[in-house]
Amino acid sequence: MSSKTDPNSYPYSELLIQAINREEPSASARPARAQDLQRCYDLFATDQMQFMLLPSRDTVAMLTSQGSFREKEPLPGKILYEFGDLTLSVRQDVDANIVRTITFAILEQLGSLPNASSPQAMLKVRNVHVDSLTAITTFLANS
Amino acid sequence: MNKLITSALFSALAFQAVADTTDQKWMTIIELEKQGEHCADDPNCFNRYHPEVPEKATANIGDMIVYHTRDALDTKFTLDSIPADLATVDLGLVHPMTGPVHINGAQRGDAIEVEIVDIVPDQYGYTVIAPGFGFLRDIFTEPYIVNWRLTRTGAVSPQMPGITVPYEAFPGSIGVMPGMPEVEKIKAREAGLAAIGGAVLGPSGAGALPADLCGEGGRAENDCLRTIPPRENGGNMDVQQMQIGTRLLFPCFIDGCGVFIGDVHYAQGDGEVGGTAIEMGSITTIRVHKIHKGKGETLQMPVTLGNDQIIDMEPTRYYQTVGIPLKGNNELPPTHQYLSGAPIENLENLNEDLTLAARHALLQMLDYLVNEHGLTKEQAYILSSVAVDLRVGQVVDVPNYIVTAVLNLDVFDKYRHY
Repeated sequence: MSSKTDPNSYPYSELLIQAINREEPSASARPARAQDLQRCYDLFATDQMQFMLLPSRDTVAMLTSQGSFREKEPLPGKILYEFGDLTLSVRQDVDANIVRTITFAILEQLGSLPNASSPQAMLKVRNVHVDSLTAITTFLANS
Repeated sequence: MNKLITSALFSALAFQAVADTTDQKWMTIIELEKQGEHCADDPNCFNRYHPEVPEKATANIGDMIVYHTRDALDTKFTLDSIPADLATVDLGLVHPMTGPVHINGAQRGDAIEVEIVDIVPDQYGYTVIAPGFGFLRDIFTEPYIVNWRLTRTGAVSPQMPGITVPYEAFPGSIGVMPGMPEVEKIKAREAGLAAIGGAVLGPSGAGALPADLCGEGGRAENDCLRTIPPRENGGNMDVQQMQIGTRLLFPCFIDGCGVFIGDVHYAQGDGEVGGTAIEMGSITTIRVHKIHKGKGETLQMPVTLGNDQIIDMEPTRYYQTVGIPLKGNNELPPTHQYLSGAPIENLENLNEDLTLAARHALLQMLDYLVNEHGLTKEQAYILSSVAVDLRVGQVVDVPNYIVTAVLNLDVFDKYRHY
């Protein structure tokens, strides 16, 4: 899920989905565009959406109750991967296999994802989902 | 002399211009206006049923009650909306209703007679295919949206070239508030159905309004009914014959009745097969003509009283497919899965089954629209949702009851396009 209020996140989410479906066709990933950040927050909080691709500052604000979300409960999510100024986050309760599969698919398709962080850089990012870290570590060990 | 006559004539004309008819008033208007972008911002809006939902206005018999209504999904869709926008609809917000309005003199056990006086459409409407929803949800699994430009002449869309859908608006949802005995009865029967796999959405606080009553932690969170199914109090009936000029009889379950409207449709086929009609916001006016004292005790469901409205809606030309309860061997349509399908899964012919006959008729209609009119299958499904009427042919010729699908061919009339 991306936000209509951010001009970059939706086009990038399409790229990302193509990459994931190319690597893991069974994922059947689809793009979703929310009308604004508040709708992103609500859908993620109520488990109607499990993944968000948003500007990093907005993701941090939602996950840690900062900025315009300081009055809200922090969202139960973790970072799955970073793409320059955009962050893909995932609900903490999403099945570990799914998180690992999506992370592997991204790692295998890094060449088609502009500005994607390197796996080495991702290991230094705070608040990354534990199963993403597992996938990244495994990927590096097998590379 | 001529000058005098000219002057007198001018004065008379000038007098007429001032004293036109506009300043003559006879209506008492009770108006519930929209406030804010969404139902959550609007004190005149709610999205769950409960007898304690606060009344927003009071009206007398004969008053014109004007409801400013929101679209069924409480969206911010626009003329350039795309399928990806559909995936982020918050299902907890369905359906935003305007009201309720207290009708003076109406008591529990009475019935009220409500006339639909007028429906002013928004300029924009949409029809969507939502994954997991709709009559053919096993076939149409991808999101799809058509954005319509609306006038009172017809609905057109660049996504549906060559098609104009006639304006035949009606409230998809109109009704009265249930009382607590009805809430308890409905909860019990729907819980029973859910327990065997029925398609039931029980009370849910997420997104529920009013939040202090129905929301998470609200004092009646578990007693606020969802608005998806129509019930004895009316609600989401989606009956297109409830046109402007018809009168509806509702049983009253609370004192004042609590009349609400929402989810107004620009046009819809009988069946609304795709899951949505042409959905829009509106300004809908009704008036209560009469309170039938005590009649609510014998009225099981709402009733429509109409005149020629049902004739005006009929197509001048049509194409009709015929369906009987046939299906593929080993096929178990989603509508039948709760029946623990083993006994019927291997049958090709089911017994006295209107649902399967409707599916059979609709699938043939989709084939016709694709093969004869060049529509994509998604366009055909959308058009069927807004302009194809499913009708019962007969329920006696065992085992094959018949449902037909009737397409209003007027939608292709080039003289309607603009």
